[in-house]
Amino acid sequence: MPPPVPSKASSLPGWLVGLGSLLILAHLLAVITLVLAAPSGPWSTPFGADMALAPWFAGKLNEITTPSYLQPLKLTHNYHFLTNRTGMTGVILEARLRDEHGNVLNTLTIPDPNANHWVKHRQAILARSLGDDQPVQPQMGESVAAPNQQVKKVKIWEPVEGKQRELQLKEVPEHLVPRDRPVMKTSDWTNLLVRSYARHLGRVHNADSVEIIRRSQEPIPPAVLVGDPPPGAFDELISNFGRIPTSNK
Amino acid sequence: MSKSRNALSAEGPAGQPLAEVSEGGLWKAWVHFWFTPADPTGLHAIRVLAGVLFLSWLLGFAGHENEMFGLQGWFDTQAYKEASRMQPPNGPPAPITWSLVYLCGENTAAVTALYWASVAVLLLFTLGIATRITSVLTWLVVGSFTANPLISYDGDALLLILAFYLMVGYVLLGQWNGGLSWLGRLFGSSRDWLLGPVARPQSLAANLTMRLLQVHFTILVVVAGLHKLQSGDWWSGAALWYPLYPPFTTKLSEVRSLAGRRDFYLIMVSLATYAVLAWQLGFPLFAWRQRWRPILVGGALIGWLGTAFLYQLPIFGPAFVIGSLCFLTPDEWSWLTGWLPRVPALERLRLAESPRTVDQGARRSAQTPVTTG
Repeated sequence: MPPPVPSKASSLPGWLVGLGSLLILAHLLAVITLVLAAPSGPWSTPFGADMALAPWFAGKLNEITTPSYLQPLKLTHNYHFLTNRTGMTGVILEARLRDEHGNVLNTLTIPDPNANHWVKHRQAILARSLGDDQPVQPQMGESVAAPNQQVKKVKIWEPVEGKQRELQLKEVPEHLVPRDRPVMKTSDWTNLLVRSYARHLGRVHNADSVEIIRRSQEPIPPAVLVGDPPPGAFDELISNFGRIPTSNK
Repeated sequence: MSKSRNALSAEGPAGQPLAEVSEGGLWKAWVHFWFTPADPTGLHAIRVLAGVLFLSWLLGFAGHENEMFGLQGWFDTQAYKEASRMQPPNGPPAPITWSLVYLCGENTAAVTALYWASVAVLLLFTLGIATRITSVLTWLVVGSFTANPLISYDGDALLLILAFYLMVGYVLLGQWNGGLSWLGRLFGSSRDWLLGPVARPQSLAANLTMRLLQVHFTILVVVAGLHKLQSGDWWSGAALWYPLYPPFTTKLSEVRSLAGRRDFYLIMVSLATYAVLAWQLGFPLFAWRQRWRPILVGGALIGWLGTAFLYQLPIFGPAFVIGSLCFLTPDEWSWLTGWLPRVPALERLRLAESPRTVDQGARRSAQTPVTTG
């Protein structure tokens, strides 16, 4: 057995050790609270798959600690990494740059196969950010617009006529959202990103408008080793965001 | 009984068993864990490794700094304005916070200048020059260039953790009783320079930083493991299948060619998936134990290869390796740095005058200078 190691006791005064300990505890408490305050799931519920809310104590504490402490320090990740979901839909963007007459000036692919690994990776994140569609809940009743007001409209993905694997954004009154099939729309965040990215491309390439097309493909499940793949498993879905004005001219 | 023996066989800051330090009770063990001076070589080595990671991360965007980070880039001023009006959960995936890049406005030349100045800061920090200042600047740089919510990436969180704790460590290093001149107090010690023979006094700040990194990294690894358990693909052992056969590049014929050895293949994939889970969920059980080092560091290295070649994800792999190396004891760092001078290009790394390397026993006999900062 090795001889006992002489303890190198801290030469800090007791009050400083106490204060330091309090700071360490408070810091770690804030980090753990943030982690606990993350919604979990989706879990199976009687109403379908749903996310579980954070425990109440963690949620309340987190409302204080994160904005006032962790956010300025940029330690706001709750370590529920998106990359833990390995079966993610593949997304590639195509940006058609057009002049004022609608002629195609250039077509860009994102991620750019010729970009370096670091840039290509961030481009892939950009492309994936545009794949975050949301289900649209159809209205149960018929809505009537208020006097001098128009009926609320929503942009939904609709198949291009005669092409089942091609979608385009179509603005329809909320009460006319189809009820006989699942309907998806782009999220507000996606819309913001599309506009911002189109403005950037317009500035850099002096384009009048940018047509952004999203090519996506579902992840390939290991079940294809056992049986036939589900219909369309290896097919691309093409979703056209339409021409977005770049507001440069 | 055996459980408590196992628990007590973990190490204290200087590598001694916690059994010996926990005899004085929980408070003494706590004080020993956080507030015992330790050789700062580990801290300096982590700084160099993290610095290389920061540099490779930021330099990877050279020539694209305006589109990635500038207010005329992918996420422009107008987008920031619109995003600030959005309420969760419809808003950005991460909160929009400060960034030095915002100071450049829409001036692309200023963004480029800031970018290259930031690269210079990271280089100085990596080399250990004026670490008191460059550690803070490095944290500002990492925070600023991870601020764009459009390209927000999980791995950025690891960069921020490393940058933050290294900043804490280098701001405190030698401040309390390090015998530094006022210049040393302001800019940092010249002993932070990793190259060349330098005697380094033991430091409380070095131990505190490594402990904070260890605990935070453990929380991160375990939580990430628990989060994986919220996904059926990890339970079914299929999670690692998907990055092997990504959409767009995988052909049906390619997958079908595996049908002949399907069982063997799926067994291997599911075993690998469960090995990842076991490493992450069991992390706190082995991370502080010296005899489990091959599992700790080996697992992180395998993870690096996996994330690099299967997932094609940057940052995660090297950051996990650096996080795992934070658990090495001063003795282990001494052994490692003792090997480095044998690498031809690293001859100058010899730490001949370091008390540890002159006499391994000297450190244990508490003869080395101690700084509580």
